Amino acid sequence: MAARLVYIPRMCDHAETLAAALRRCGVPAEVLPPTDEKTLELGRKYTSGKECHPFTVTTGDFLKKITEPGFDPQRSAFLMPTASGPCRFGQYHQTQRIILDRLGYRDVPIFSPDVRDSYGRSMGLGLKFRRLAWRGIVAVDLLNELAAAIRPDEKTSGAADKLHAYYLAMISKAIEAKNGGIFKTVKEMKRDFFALPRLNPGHKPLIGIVGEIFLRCNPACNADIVRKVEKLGGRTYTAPISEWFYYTNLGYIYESWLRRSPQGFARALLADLIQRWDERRLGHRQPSALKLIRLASPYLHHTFKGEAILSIGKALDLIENGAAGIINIMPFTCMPGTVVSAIAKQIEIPWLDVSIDGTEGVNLEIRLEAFMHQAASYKKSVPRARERK
Amino acid sequence: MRNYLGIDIGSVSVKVVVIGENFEILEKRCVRTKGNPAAVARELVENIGARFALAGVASTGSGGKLLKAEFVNEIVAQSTAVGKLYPHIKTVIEIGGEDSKLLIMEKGKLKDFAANSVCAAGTGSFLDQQATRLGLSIEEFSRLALRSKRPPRIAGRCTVFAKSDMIHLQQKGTPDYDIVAGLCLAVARNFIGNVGRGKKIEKPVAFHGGVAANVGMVKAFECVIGLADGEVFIPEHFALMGAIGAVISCLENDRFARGDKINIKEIFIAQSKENKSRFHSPLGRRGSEESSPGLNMLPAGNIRAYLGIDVGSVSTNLALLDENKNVLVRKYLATAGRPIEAVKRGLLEIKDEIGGRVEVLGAGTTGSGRHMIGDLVGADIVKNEITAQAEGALHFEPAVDTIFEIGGQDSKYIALEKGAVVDFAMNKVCAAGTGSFLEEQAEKLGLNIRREFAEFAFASSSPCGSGDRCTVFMESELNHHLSRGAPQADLVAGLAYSIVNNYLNRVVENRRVGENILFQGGVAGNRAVVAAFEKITGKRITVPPFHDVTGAIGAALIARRERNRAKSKFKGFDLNKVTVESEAPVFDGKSAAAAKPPDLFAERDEIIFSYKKISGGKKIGLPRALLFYENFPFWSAFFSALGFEVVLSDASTPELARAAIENKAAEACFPITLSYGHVRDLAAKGADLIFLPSVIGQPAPSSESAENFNCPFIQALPYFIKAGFNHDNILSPPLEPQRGKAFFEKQLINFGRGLGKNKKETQDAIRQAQEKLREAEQRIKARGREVLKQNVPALAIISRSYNGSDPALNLNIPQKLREMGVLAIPADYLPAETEATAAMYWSCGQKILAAAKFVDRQPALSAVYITNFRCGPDSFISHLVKETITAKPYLQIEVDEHSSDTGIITRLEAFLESWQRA
Repeated sequence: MAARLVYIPRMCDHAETLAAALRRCGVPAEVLPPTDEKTLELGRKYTSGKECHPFTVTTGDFLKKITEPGFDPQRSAFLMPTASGPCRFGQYHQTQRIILDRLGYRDVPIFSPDVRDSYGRSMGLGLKFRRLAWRGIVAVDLLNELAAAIRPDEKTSGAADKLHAYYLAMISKAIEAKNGGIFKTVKEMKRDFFALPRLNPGHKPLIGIVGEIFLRCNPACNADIVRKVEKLGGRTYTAPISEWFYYTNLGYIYESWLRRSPQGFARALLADLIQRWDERRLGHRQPSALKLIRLASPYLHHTFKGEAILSIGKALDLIENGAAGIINIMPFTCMPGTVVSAIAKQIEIPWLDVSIDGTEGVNLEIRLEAFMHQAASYKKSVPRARERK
Repeated sequence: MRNYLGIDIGSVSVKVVVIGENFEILEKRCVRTKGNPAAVARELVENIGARFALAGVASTGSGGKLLKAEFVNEIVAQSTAVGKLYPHIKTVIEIGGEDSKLLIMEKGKLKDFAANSVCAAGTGSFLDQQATRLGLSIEEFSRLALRSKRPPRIAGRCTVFAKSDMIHLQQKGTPDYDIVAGLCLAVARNFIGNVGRGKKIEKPVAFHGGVAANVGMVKAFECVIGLADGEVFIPEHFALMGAIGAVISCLENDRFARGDKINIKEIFIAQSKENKSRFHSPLGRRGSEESSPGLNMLPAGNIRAYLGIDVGSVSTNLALLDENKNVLVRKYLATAGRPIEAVKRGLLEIKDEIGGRVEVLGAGTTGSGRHMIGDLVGADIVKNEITAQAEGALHFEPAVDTIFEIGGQDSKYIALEKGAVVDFAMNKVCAAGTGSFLEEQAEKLGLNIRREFAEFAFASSSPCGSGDRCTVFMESELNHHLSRGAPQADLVAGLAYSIVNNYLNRVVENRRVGENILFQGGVAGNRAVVAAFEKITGKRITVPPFHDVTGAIGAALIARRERNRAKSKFKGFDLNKVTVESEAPVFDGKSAAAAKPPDLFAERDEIIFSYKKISGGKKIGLPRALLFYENFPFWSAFFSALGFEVVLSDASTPELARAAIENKAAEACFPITLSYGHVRDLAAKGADLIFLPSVIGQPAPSSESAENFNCPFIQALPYFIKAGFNHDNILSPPLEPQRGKAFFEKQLINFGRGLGKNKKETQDAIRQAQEKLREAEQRIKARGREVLKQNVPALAIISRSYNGSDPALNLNIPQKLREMGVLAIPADYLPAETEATAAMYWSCGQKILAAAKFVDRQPALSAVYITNFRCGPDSFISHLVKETITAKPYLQIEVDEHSSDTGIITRLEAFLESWQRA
């Protein structure tokens, strides 16, 4: 596999640092070109249209790469992580395998790190890769949070975006470089963001964005929801990507304990501790997975596994911390997302479900405007951080 | 004197209102946009600006940003208007041309709202279309509804479903006023179910938007919400509430400039440029013009001929062929909801031309109305439209390998090899990519579909992308382009691309597209669509002569080929002299009187749902839904052993389904939605407790695997129900049978403790429950072996047990097959071994794939795979089933709230035909 170039779906900014971590470990890696109309055209052609939207997008991106001149099946591979249910995500790589086979690309492998050991044996690369990848993910989470927090109040339009682009490249560089420097880079990144001149910081209503992981962090596929909210006078906080890994760690710890596997238990616990430590060193904070599950427990039992419990937990945590509205992003017909939207009916806060199928509708704009109108009046009516029920 | 202009630019009409200083309405207008909202708005504003001095202009609506006025979001505008003018109102229903909204108000402020998101069902345009279809003005439509005493049930989840239901009702001869009332009720129910989605509708209720003028709709809402006559409040300016609210909102937020008069010219802005990436390449000119088909010269003297009639939802076609298969006469008539009338008229026209000289040797009918018309005219043969279309195509091109057929409501794809049908597909639950869609959209753009469409399309240099999904999505994309002011030619050309993309992606899917392609059906006459087909497939597309009547030609040819009696049953060209008797339905020529195979599904219901009822204890309700279709024996025995009286909900009925749709809290799949109805039924039956466990997985077939999950929707059943339904005593323990026997037992013992039972009592109950379940499973397997031993051709229904057995979910497919003399076998009757693999972590998927594998290996068997719209697992499992069943054709049917007998029978018949030939 050493000679194969691994193509990573452009799910979010984190894909860049993941590629950097792979390269640092000697695996040639590249992020797939941005998703566009051609992606959707190819994706729809080879899917039935009933699968979830991220499947259509990633399949389309794979096929777009394959049909590019110069693509070498003998020296290429795709990355598509997997899970063992219960939602549809774990089916992606298998069905993509079928599609590639039908098209005659039997010899192009799809690498699939698995959720069951919390991605522990990621492609046989071991601890070094895992730790590098993790630091990259956390650093980009932090970068995105800083940009989302500062941009709505910036004095000079475009300043935060400029810093964002610069530091995304710097983080990847630091991950890939032999001598590291990620901690220093992140420190400078924080300093530079806070040094940007701002107007009236923190006064705009805060909109929490939760939901399906592929879409919520992917402006090319989520109708650029963050910018739309900002244009309508709000600021956003999007649930970070790293959240999911703490959840899968917890799952691995719990399963090891249930199966009386001290080895697995110790390994999982240790990995989680190291990840937390790294996160703290990078100066990023978030509520623990256990806390989110506890917050969600009046609505959803922890045995219902997957993103839904995180979305509910994170939404409640954000409400506790002064959010004026929640947006739940999901692919059209997403199963966990649909469960979240049912449960949300019992939560008192302006709430908007956004289901994405790849068509541009006038409707989203209308609903978003009315939602922002509600959020603004909600903010007025609940001046301080609200008490959790 | 300060006057303000409020303008509401919608996709169907522009509403303007001039409001004076004292809040008086000085002027109001409502003008249809006819596809050009920007121009209409501009004209109106200029006209008003010339007559009034305006101090400010506030705009709202989907096209509100076409002007540089103070823009107010339409939900905000509507809620501001009602809050200011009628602060006592608690709920607003707003239905306009293309959108509908539900506003929940609290003390004159917007508390919550919902808008139709991905679905345009239940909108004004939909009602307009249906009125046109019935040949009524919208006013007549509205009044007619009040006459109905027994409105029929029409599906309202999607405009397309409702439409096809309506067509089938017409074909059954239901009076217009009942259909109209049924449509209104469907729209109202759809609104409450899909837009409202479990939001509580509190009195007083106001009704805004253009549709509020429709008294039939008002009555339907009163009926659906459960209000008294006249209780729905219609504001005086119901259609103008948006425009009025926009002005009020701007005044309240001080958004108008200080001066008394603004310069009206300043509010017109240049139409924004579109993002180039959403465009297709130009269609170009089609090289060869279609040769106009010539009819054969009528021979002198007496003619011996064969008659074919194709009765479709949109058109009724007749063809008369001589003994040498030459087309002598063809008729293409609009069905217009009255197929009998259309056929009578067509026959009379033939009679007038040559009737006296023709001896009909054989007559065949096809199309969705083939059975009824077959009886009426005395057809010798009644054939499904797949077979008929193929026959028609082969007549013109014996080497044809692919047929694209796009008609009014249906589209088909047929693959042939050496003249035999080897594969086919029909548009599933949606009618996107059909002629009706094109016609509606052309009408909206003010174009004549026959004369102008292609001309406009060929003039476009950058056709708009209009999406390629269902009609509803296409429509909103089109509206989107419209509201941005895209040129008409580009929209039209974009539509040609849409219909083709949709057809190829949704109907043909991954099936083979050959080299010898015929394009048939009414839409084949549209040269722009032909060009789009050629552009996209990169292949030459042939439109045969008489492309619009190939079905009728095929029916005539089949009548000729299968002629088996000296004298035709044909009753003659003048049907006014013929009386219609009702006969037993005839399925594609076979008599239904033959011995029927056993009804295994009824037997299975008996095995699963019979139980000994123990009266006296607390009543515990179990829904006859979802997994209870498999494990009811377990739970009924479990609770009986613990001293409860078990209450089972009734089998699903249309009423139960309707109640379910009105109570649902989210857009889950239909089986989940249906369970709301069962829970309601249990409450009505006086259950003290309702048992809705969150069952995470199924016992693993091998002890190795713990990944044997139920789908997330099944797991979340209690969470869905609790979000839409208030019942204090829902028991919803999380249960994880997939973790093994001991673990599951521990969970049940815990659960038993909550019910006041000790460990021993619960363990006893578990033992009895397991015994009962084993017994039921053994009976099922034993009967399965018995049936399979006979080795008769049969169809396995390889679906989840509830999809196969629940009468609201299976469209009576097992019963219909039985009527046709075909044995239908439930999936769990097959001795198929399931394997749990990491790859297939859903228990349902393991079972479906195991059944598929078994069917593939048994020469006597094929399969019907019943699935649901919005079924997450099946969207992937269906790929795997396709990889598994390779030795023979099988049929996949997607079921929804929509249920249409006629459509299903056609598909079953055509499938049986190709299975028998394969």
